[in-house]
Amino acid sequence: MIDVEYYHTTSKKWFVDFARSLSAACGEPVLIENNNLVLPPSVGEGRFEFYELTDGFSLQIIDCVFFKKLRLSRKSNSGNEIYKVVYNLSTAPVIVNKRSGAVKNLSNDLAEAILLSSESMELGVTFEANKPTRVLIIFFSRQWFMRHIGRYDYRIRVSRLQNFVASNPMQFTTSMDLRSRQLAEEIFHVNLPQLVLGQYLTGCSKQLCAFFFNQLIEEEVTEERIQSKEAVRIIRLKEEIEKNIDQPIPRIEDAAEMCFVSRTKFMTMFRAIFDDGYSSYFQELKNNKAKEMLSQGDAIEDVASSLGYKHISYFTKMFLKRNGLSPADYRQKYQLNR
Amino acid sequence: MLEVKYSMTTSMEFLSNIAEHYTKACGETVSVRDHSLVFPPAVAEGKFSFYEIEPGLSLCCLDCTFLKGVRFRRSDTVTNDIKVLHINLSTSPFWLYQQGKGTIDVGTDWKNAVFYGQSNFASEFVAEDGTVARVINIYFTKDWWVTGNEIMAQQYPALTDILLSKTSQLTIDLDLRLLLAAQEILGVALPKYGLNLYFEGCVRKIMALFVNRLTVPLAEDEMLDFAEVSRVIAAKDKILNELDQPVPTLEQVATQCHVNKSKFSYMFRAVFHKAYSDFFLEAKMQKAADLLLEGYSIAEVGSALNYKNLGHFAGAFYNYYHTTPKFYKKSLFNKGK
Repeated sequence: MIDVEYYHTTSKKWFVDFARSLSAACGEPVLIENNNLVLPPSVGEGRFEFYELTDGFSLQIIDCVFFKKLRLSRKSNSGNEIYKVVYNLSTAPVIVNKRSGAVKNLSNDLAEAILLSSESMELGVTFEANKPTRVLIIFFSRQWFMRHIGRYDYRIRVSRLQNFVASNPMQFTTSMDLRSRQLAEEIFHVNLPQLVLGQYLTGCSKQLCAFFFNQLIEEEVTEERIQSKEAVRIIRLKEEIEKNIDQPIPRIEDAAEMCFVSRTKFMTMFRAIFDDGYSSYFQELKNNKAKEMLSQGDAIEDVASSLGYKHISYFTKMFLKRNGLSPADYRQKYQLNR
Repeated sequence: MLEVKYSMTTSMEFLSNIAEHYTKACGETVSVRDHSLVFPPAVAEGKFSFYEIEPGLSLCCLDCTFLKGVRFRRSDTVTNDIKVLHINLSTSPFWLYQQGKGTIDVGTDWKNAVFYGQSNFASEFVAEDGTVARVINIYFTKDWWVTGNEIMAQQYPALTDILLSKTSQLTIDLDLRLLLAAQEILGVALPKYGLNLYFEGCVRKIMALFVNRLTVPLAEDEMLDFAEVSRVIAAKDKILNELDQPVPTLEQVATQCHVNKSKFSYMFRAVFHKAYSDFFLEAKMQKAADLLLEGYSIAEVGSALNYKNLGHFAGAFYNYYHTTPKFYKKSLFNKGK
């Protein structure tokens, strides 16, 4: 296995240094011709290219077979100025080791084929020997991000975009949609003269980035939309129950089912919206109602039945427990207009 | 015929300016909303949009029908700061008058459909009653060109002369790659967020292809028949919009496009880089994933994509994504919690 430690920037300097480190690790000279790193015949063959496209924005194209297992580990850096987005289009999975020791598989299907990583995160990538490797990596700086995405106001709502703005360490995987996959394939197949190649690759990479950020934002917005729909259902249900307070309160399971959410989620969301648990909220409500009615001089039987209690004794017991007074005593003490 | 005056600029004023002159010309209010013109019903319908992408670069795209014929008239200015690259994808006549060069048809077919002009020459575009216009206009300043193309300017100074000299004004024929790159701007599934970044990408691709065409002649296999290619693209769009209907067989769709089966296969592959059946399978699977993400049930998604049998749908989904619809849905909803 060849082990290479490297760092990256959006300029070509890191690529030159990378060639040097690779050369030291495998004991053979490694040259860079134009944008292509020429792999020594014993290490691998194919394309291993890097393009500095515009200020703070660059692209790496890997389309090759390594003859030895290759492990690249990135030195972590203190700032979070440079980000990279890795697109795996190999049929073989690409293994990523995280700082936590967790091993992630950038899979060959679309489910988790894109990885974003900021430079303060430790990251190791392993390429298997003798398997065709097709990977695209887009590098961008934080300034570049601010210029193209960060300046629009939708970042305020989206937590992942806020992480960019605050230069928090970030690392996550996401799925590759069809359009991104088509664009990535296009980048592998571009066949244009050197004169316009840079401009064309810049175009493709920017389109790819647009879809990447679009997906990040859309994922959170969709989530929000689903949640808000659920919240509306819960609020409606609560109003419905209040209107029919003389009916028994539905069990939590039934209430959750009426709102199309799980029991746990229902309880969490109910508490988040109304600042109180489901059953204690309605107990409190009934109790207040009972006190109000009693103070207006209503008969205990009437109060109990209009609050959905079938047995007066149960109502009396609950009331006593909550207020330290029986309903009769309460009425005597607080009744208005006696 | 309505006569609408306009001037070239890369700022948003462009659109309000056109709206104002359009209003004057037709006597009804043409207003601006969300980067687009809002036409009165009898005047025109469809999309007429303008985006300021970055300083010195903007994009004006038309995908609309001019119910009333219109003449867009631009007078020459002394300054020569703004350039335009006009790509015409219309399949009906669209007349261009160039100062000092006379009038040509830039619509209808590939011929002369790409026009490069500068602000010191006057020009006029004329669309007759009922013209369906599909047009991309890229406006950029000299500064934008120079900063974005330093390397090109060093490697190929003659090209910079061609494009930036005062007397430069030219048309070339459209080709398949330019057509497809331009289609990406008028396409359907645009990213809602990051749209400017996306458009900038599209524009850079078009620019690269345009410059390439000025320096390298077209290869023979790139010269397909415009009318046939347009029909193939239109057929594809129609099928994509109706995925709940059965996808027509190769024979059926080839007949619709007035070509034989093998020619259709060849053209489809040339235009979309994929076999006909693969293309629509991918489209269906992508739509399935999107619909599941939006919260539709597996049964609803299956029927929206014209699967009579849910098992068949699940099987196709599994073959494509290596995971079942049910598992996919579950993993989506557990994400981020």
